[in-house]
Amino acid sequence: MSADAKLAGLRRGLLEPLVLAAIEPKERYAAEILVSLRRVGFPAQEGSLYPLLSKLRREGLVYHEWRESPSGPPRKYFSLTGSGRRQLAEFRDHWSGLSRMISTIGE
Amino acid sequence: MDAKVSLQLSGHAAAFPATPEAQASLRRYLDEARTQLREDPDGDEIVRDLEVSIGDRLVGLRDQGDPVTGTQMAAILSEVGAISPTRAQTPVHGATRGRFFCRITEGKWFGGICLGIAAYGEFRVDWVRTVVLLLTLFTGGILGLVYLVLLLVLPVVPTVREYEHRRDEPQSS
Repeated sequence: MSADAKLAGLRRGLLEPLVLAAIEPKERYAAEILVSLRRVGFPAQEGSLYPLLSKLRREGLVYHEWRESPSGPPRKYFSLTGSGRRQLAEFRDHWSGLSRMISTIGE
Repeated sequence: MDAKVSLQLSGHAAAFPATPEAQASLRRYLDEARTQLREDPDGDEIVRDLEVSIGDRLVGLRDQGDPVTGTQMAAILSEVGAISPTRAQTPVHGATRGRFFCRITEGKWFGGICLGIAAYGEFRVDWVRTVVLLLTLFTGGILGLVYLVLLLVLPVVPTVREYEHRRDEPQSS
């Protein structure tokens, strides 16, 4: 297994918390979420984002509201629910724990 | 060369002119998406959302006036990306749904009920149709009423293959 393949596995698991984080500051629709992801160097595609968003909605972590779009069909704007925010906070805690581990182990 | 079809996509009121190749690859993509999302409770909605964003990408091309070519469509579809279904629960292997009665759309004559019965019992559908027709005649149409009731209550399955798939797939807990 090459280093790339190992990293790919790690990245896959990151999509969910990154999506939650992307809609934390303000509500966004799917294309904007993809732009935010690309901007931080985590390109993703609708094909994986849409199934994830609807799973997150079923789990009660996000909800959406329909808004008119200036061009084309109305859009779903996603925001975090209370438990979405809690989950993101937990993830951040967990993440900083992990990075502390990897930077201090063996010292 | 001039063959042109128009694509209808969810959410987009106006159709998109396209070549038959573009239409075929779109259809393949959406069929594949439906298959991948078969177990997703929001599968239909996700496919609709995908159609909307494919349409959003096609708008620019439509404004240029030329029909969408197969190559352009392929590029758009690879941007949208293959579906990666989320698995909330892993299905338990062993227990399958088993046989169930349904109506089957592909190849139906009327409601697809005879096809459903044929698939259920693995009979030949022309035999089922003959028997049902004869029984309807002999019972003075009572079976016709039964047929109408079944039309309302039975679940619809698109194809025989799909029926077999649902019958044999592991049940999720």
